[in-house]
Amino acid sequence: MQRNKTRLLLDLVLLLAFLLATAPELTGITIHEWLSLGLAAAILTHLLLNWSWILQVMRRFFGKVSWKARINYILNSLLFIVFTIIITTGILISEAVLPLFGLSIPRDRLWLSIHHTMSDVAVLLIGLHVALHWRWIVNTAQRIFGQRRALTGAKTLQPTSKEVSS
Amino acid sequence: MKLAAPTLIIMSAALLVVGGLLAFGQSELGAEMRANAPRGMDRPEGFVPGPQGFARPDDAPPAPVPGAGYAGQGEGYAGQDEGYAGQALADDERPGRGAGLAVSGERPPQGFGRNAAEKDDHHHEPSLLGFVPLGANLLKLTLIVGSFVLASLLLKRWQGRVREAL
Repeated sequence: MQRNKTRLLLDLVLLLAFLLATAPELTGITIHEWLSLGLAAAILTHLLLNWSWILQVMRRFFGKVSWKARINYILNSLLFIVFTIIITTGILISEAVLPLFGLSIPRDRLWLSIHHTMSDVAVLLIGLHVALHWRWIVNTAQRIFGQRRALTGAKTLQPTSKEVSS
Repeated sequence: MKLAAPTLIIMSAALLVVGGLLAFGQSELGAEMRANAPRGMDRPEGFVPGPQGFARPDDAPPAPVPGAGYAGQGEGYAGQDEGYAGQALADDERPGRGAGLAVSGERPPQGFGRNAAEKDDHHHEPSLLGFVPLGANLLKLTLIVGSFVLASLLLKRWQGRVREAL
């Protein structure tokens, strides 16, 4: 349960960070770049948290595995490739992070163009990713909040039972 | 230690993608895309890149007709004392790359012109206008997730009816 809670929380933070990162006009280029680097680290954590699922599906990809898991796996692989491209091209056109380390790469319009195109593709893929995991998101949220509600209900009942015994 | 192996695998996969991306950048297709990539953004009003940006005074002689005369015969612009090209620049100044002069006679900001996009300051400063792309992406995600969830609900209901009918 705790693990699922951590996963859901991280996924929510990832989604919000991704949405913010797609709007550099709102955050400014410096925050956009640092946020995206943080997002890269969070994606790595997300993959590590779900590593057992990745291994399971990878081993049985051509064997006995549901079509939903197979489609999910292909979609997740595409997402990984797209995010790697976005982060790499982002570093190649960086205007805030790289100069901070004394590095400067001549700006290339190709990377800028790929960065923008892949960001649009990522929005679509993230939408599909969330849609395919919607049931898990709703179930986990219901379990977490249901448990919390049950706990608060029990706490409010406690004094009454004490009162009864005294 | 348990995390080291998956992390290494993920990083290796990411490196493969990066290698492929950089190889693409060096390829012919990459060069073609680079040539067709959108050029400098946020061109100042009235600024016309390239030779058409040269301001022509009203009393300027008519433009030479191709084939009508040769350079040095007094019909062309090159080398004329009163010409447009070759205007004196201060020692520390250099013309915008391939840009020429703006119609207004003002020098275009550095980085505009054929090989522009050295800097695109338009999203350096955070702005509330950034809520527009953020909202648009949020809307896209909601639409994708919403349509998927709706489709799965409808499918389930339809499957239930079919089962009942059978």
